[in-house]
This record gives sequence, C-alpha cells and structure tokens, in this order.
Amino acid sequence: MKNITLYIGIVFLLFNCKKEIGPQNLQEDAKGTGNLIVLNEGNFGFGNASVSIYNPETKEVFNNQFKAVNGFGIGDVLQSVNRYQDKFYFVVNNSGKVVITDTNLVYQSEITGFNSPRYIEFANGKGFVTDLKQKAIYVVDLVSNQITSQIQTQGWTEQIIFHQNKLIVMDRGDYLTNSSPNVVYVINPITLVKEDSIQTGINPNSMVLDKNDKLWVLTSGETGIESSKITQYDINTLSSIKTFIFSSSSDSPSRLVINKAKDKLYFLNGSVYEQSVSNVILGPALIFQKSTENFYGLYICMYTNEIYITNAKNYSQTGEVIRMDSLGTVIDNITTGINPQNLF
Amino acid sequence: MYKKWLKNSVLIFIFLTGKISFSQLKSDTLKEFVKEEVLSNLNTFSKVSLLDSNSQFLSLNEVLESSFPVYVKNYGKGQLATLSIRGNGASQTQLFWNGFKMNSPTLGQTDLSLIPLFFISEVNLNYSGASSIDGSGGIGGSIQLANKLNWKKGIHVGILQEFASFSNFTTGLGFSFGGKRFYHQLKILHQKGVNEFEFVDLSKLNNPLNTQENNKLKQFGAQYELGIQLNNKNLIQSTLLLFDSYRELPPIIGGVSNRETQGDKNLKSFVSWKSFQNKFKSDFRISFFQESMNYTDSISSIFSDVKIKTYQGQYRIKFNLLKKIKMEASAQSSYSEVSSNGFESNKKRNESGVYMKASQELKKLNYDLFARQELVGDKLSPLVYGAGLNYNLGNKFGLKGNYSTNYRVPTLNDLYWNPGGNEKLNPERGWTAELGIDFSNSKRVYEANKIEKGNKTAYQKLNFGLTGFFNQTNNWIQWQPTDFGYWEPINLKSIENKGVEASIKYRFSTNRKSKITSSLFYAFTDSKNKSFSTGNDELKDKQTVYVPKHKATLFLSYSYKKLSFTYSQFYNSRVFIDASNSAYLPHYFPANAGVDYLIDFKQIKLRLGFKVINLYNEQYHVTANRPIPGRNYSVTLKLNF
Repeated sequence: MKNITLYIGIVFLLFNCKKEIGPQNLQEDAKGTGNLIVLNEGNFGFGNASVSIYNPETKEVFNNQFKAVNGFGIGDVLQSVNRYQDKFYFVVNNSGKVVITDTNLVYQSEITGFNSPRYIEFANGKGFVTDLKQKAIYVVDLVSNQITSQIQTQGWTEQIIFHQNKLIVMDRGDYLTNSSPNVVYVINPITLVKEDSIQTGINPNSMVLDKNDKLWVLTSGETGIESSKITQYDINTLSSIKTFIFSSSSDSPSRLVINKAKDKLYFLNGSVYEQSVSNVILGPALIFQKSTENFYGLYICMYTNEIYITNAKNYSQTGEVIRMDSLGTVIDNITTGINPQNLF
Repeated sequence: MYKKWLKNSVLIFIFLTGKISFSQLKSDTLKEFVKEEVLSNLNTFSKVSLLDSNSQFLSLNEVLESSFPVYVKNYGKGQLATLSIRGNGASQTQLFWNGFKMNSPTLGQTDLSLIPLFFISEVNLNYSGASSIDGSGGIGGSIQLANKLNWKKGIHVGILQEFASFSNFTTGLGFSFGGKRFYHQLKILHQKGVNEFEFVDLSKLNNPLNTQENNKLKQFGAQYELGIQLNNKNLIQSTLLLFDSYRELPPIIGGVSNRETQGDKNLKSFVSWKSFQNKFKSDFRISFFQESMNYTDSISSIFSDVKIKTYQGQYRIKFNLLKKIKMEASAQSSYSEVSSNGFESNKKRNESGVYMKASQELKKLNYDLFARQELVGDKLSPLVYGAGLNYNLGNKFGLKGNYSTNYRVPTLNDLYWNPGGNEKLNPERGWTAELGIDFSNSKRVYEANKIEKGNKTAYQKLNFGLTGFFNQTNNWIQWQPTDFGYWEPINLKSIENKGVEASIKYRFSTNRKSKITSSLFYAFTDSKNKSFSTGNDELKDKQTVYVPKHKATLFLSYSYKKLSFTYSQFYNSRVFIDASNSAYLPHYFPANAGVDYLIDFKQIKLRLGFKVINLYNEQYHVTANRPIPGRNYSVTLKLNF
C-alpha cells in the first residue's frame, strides 16, 4: 500500500512540475545592464538567435537578454539592429520580421511581412529595410509599423546609410550567384526615386563613409574573374578615387568598418587589418593576427575607439568577442551566444 | 541375422520417413525456404527484431521510437526522421533493404519517415557490432528490412483504413494468391495528411497557441512480390516496390515559411535465387534501385535535384566445415551513378566486398567470428572483423561478450560537393565491445488453491537482460566553416560512447485467453567528444548533441479473448543542442494508449482499433523549434479474408 502511495506521488509530481517547452539555456539568464549589444546570429533554421549585453566598465556580460526580459526568443538569424529615437529595431532575417524594443530590450511591437530582411535605416520619419531575396527595399511607416511601399532594385540589397538627406544602399546582385550588376544606389527618401548609382567591383560586401564624406566599398570579387578590392568613391561625381586590389586567391576580405575619427579603416581578411584613408597608395597593415579563431564580425566603438572582433568558432558552439584597444592590445574576452556577428 | 534385421529396419525406417518427408515436403520446405536466409544474424551480438501486425500503419521511425534502445531524432510529424544508436549519429546508421545498402550515396543517411512498414515483413535492428553482415557503414548499428513471402495458399485479401487527427487518411490494400509453385502478392498504399496542428508558439509574447503551416504530405506506394518454387531445392523470390512521396516542409517556430516542398520517388527491386542442397545452400541476388529527390524553395529560387541509380549483386553461400563449424560467406558488388546539381559532373561509385563468418555451437558455448573486406573505387578499405561468444552459466543465465570493428566511407557529397567537397577525407573508423548477462525463465503455474478446476493453468515468462557497451568512432566526418565563406567536411573528431542497457520482460497468460505482456527498457548513454583534429579543446569531454543520457520505455498490454488494451510510456532525458552544451531541450515523457477489438466471422476477420497518441497532451520538441502535436487520435479498421 505504501508503495502505491509513493508511486502515485511520483506520478503526480511528474505531471505537475511546470514543464519547460523547447530550447532552454543551461545557465539561468540574469537581467543585466550595459551599453553594448552583442548580436548573436544563431544558426539558420535553429531559431537560436540571441542578444547579449556587455558592460565595458565592469566587463560583465549578460547573455540571452531578450529572452530574459520578454520570455520568448528573438527568432531565427539575428542580422542587425538600429536605433531610432528611443527604440531599438532588431532585424531578424529568417523570421522575416523587425522586432521593436525600448532601450531596456522590453518588447514593444514588431513589423512583419518581409522576405529576408537584412538592415534597417531611418530617414524622414520612415524606416527603410534592405532584403536578401526581395529585389527591393521596403519602406515602413514607423507609426503604424506597416510596410507601405517598396523601391525596386536589381538584387540583394545590403548595407544602407542615411547621409546628407540621401540613402546610400548597396546592391549585391543575385543573391545566389552574386553576379553583376553590382551597384551602390543614391536614393531620395522622400520621392523614393533612385537618383544615382555607382558601379562597384563584383559582389560588394560592406561600405563606410570617411571624414571627407567619401565612400569606401569592399568587394569580394569572383574567382577567376575579378579579385577582391577596396575602393574609394566620390558620391557626388560617382567616380572612383583610389583602389587596392587583393592579389592572392586566398584573400577573402569583409566587414569594412571605420574608427571614431573616420580616418582609419578596419576590415577582416582572416586576421584584422587597418588602412588609413589618407594614404595615396593603399596598403593594409595587419594589426591582429588570428590563430585558430574564426573571425566573423568587426565593430569599433564610437565612444572609446576600441575594437571588438567576434569569433564564431565552428558556428555550432558559444562564440566569443575579443575586445582590444586601437593598437590591437587585448582588453577582454567575452563569452557570448552562438555566432556573435556584430555589436551595437 | 541381427545385423541383417537392423539393416532392413533402417532401410524401412528410411523408406518410411522418406515417404513421410516427401508428403510433407511441399509446405515444409516452402516455409523453410521462405524463412531461412543463407546469411544468418550473429547471435552473440545484441539485436532485436521488430514488427508486429499492429505496425502496418506506421512508418519505420514510429516503430523504432518505441523500441529499445535507440533514439530517433525527428523534425515533426511526417518529417525527416533519423536514428542515433548508442551515441552515434544518423550517418553511422546503415540501412539495408533485402540485403542491399539503401543509405543515399550522396547524403549517407536514410529518412526513416519514408519507409512505410506496410511493405516490409521483417525489421532487424542490430545495435551492436553485428551491423556489417550485409555491408559496412553501420558504425553505430544497422537496420535490415526484409520482404518475406508468407505463401498462404489460395486467395486472400486485406484492407486497411486509418482515420487520424489532423486529416490523416491511410488506405492499404493487399491481395495475395498462393498456389503450389507460384505465389503472388500485390500491395497498394495511399496516405495523405494535412497536419495543421496547434503548438505553443515560443517565438511570440506570452507564448500563444499557433497552427503549424505548410505541413501536408502525400504518399503512394505499390509493391508486387513473386515467389516461384522451381523444385524442392530451388526458389525464386522477387520484389518490386514503387514509392512516391510528396511533402511540404514546415517552417521552424518563429521562422517564415518559404513554402518549401520535397519530393522523393523511388523504385526498389530485387530478385533472389535460393538453392538449398543438402550440404550447401546458396542465394544469388541482384537488385536495381532508382531514386530521385527534389527540393523546391521557389521564394529563394533554390531547386535541388538528385538522381541516383544503383545496381547491386550478391552471392551468398552456407556450408559446414569439419561437420560442426557453420560457415557463411558472401561476395557483393555495387555500382551507383549519381547526378546532382551540387556536383560539377555526374559521379560514379563502385563498391565490392567479401564477407565470411564461422560459428559453432558447443555444449555451453557458442561463438561467432566474422571478417569483411571491401574495395571502394580503387581503394582497399580497412578490414572489418569481429568475434563474439555466448556462454551458458546454468540456472537459465547466459553471458554474452563481443568485440568488432567497422568503418564508413565518406559520402559522394562529402567528396565532391561544389564548393567544399574534400577528396582527401579518410573513412570513419570505429570499434565496439559489449558484455552482457541475461536470464530467461518460462514456467507453467498451477493455481494451487483452485483444485476443483485442476485443468486451469497459467504460463509465465520472465526475461531479464543487462548489457554494458563501449564504442569509439574516430575520423568523424563533419562539415566545418572555412576562411573562404563555404563549408568543407573534415575528419574532425573522435567520440566515445559508453553505457548500460537493461530490459525486463514479463508475460503471463492463462488458457482462458487472458494475457498480460509487459516490458521495461532502460538505456544509459554517456556520449562524449574526445579529441579534435582542429585542436578545439574547449569542446573536449562535452556531451554530443542530441544524445539523451537516459532513455526508458514501458510497454503494457492486457488482452482478454478478443479485446486488448495497450499502454506505452516513453522517457527521454534532456539533450544538448549545441556543441558547447550551453543549451538543451528538456526531457519529455509522452505516452500512447490503445484498445483493439477483433470481430471474427468465419473466414472474415475484422479488427477495430482506437489509439490515443500523446495521451497527456505534452508539448515538447524532439528537434529544437520543431513542435510535436499534442494529444491526437487514430481509428483503424483491418479487414482480412
């Protein structure tokens, strides 16, 4: 009889425990504060994207913060984030949505209906969202959080910058083949008209504006046809000013960023390289040599000028962020979520 | 005088028995022919035979889920399902169809959800080293699917119909005709489902209920089997199976559906010629497979198309050596031709192999010894070998121990995928050992206090087994990111698995036709990454992903005359879902229950069944963010005459 009571007790316990459903994190997420956001892309089709918060002063990191604050995951493949007024707009690529939070990551609302969104930029009270597959830029009403129209493009639209009342948008061409035409558009955000375009090298992957408002574009090229290169353009005359060609076929440069003073470029090519914008003859210099790391993202803090490199390792384990000063001296190693790909 | 008498008696005896045998021969040799295979299983290695008549509505993964001690990873109802045996993965599980390798030469795996058991008459799960009888590759283990003719005389018809939740309908038709020399069987299966079930949407605020989308499936299959008894010693058996599956691929929770679809079409066929002489038995068999798989995501403009043709041949023999040693051997060869839009050009693969086994049954000891040597392309593969023994300890206790090796060659995708394919890959190599003890006792129980009904008896049977295992897989092939933006497979790591499996089976029946069957299985698996060729020490000693440490299954059934009840309860402990063991899926504890009733009317048998799946309406994922339906039902009708 005792045994039966015990058995019933066990069964009762089993069915009455509050059951966890779906993926869980081993360490309980504590809510923390800090002013740097780490975007953990997660794995495509796994729904394990996450947001980490880093406090550069205390060197504390708080992982899975979106879930800790809101009780649900941010989605599948976290691509980018941007801030407009006092809201964060997280672009969640394979969930086809933009999640809006306040600055404490508290969920406010979301914008849905995108195909494969990549980046968001703001101009004239509107949001502009680039897309991998849609062959268009979405225009979003920031009051109703609805897509209102689309600006047609050739292919995969990637980075987008609002500068001098114009939107500068990169078009990588067909997203499967990255074939030409590869252009950077200059778009009027009021009329939504593509006013100008700059022909770039094959398969541009990132771009920045320097202190002289000149545009720098890093292209991946295509094996056997064109090498990777880094080129400076004048966005008024639409012509190229100077260029550096990566000669080796093993070069695979990406993630072009610029420092606080906007006079020094940084990018990844396996390791981390820098390039002063004012050199007449370009020649990138190595500043941080990689060993077994799989460097994936690069970020420069606009306040401290510190460099943050993300290491995605083998893409299936928790990643890390290496924080260093502008000379390449390591300050901190931060353990993050899976596939940290950028900071904000 | 005495001698003469003896001689005559013997002659008379031979004559008589000869006569008797002759008259019985037709049916007996037929049964023996159909049942007996030239290559037998290794009895000193762990294995289990699955399949009962209630499984005909299920696909292979659904039966394996409830069987000890393997772990089935699935992507939701009707979707991709693969098997993990003792800590190894889907690629380390080799499937054979009537003795022929059926894992895709491109992917190296088989989707178990595309194998309806309706077309299969026998399933053997070899979850130890006995996996290489028909071919290499099953480092974790193997599954042998076989078509066996039952050779029922006359005309028989079977009709199956299932109605299940989420608009699932399955219809099966079977027709057989058995004569003296010929046996024909035709089976047709049609299945369709909508599968728009509700799940807890973890991607939304307050986790509301949401409905699964893009999850329809449609399957159609037809199988023709033929048996020809040429004479008392020669039998031809042949099977032709056509199977066509179309399914939509649902998005993950929180993902956007691109309305992806997958179509699989395949033709499988084989012909076997068995010849059973007195001292020498042989089986010559050939097969032809034609498979095509296409995946469509029109929103992303991704269209993947793979076509495979495989020709295989085998010759198997069995004879006795020095009278007491049973020898079995086989030689086989296979040739595959593959076109895939992942390759720059069409690829071919040639594999040949020889296998030999010796076994002997002594008074208290049985042993098996085997070896296999293969040639893949022009490369000689590592020798595969193994040895096992059973020792009778007395008092119904038996001891079992074995050791074996195995290997798996890289798939064609691993070698030739563009970009990333790595032609320098080495085969995966593994070894496994197990040691176990079992106890089996059947006895007749008299109900002592009911002497007035002295003829009332009861039977009980108790089985108990406990096995420990250890296995290691080296050169584990895994795709890794490169600096060039694409992925490349490398011989990444070694894994080590150790564990314990326990089972208790108890059966109790009375001659008043009431029967209780119960079984309890438990498996403990400690599966760890051991060393990395990339020097990634951070992942050393981490638990491999999607391998539960604890798995248990409880099965209970009670039948009284024509009514039977079944209850099954599963438990899977949590699994890690990332290599650094930072995230996991919680344990799950689902149960199924069913009731069956048989209506007998002369030659007509109608079986009605009702089943509740996921009885406690548990919400869980087997694969992260791929929801499993809550409580659902099925009604089955089976008519045979």
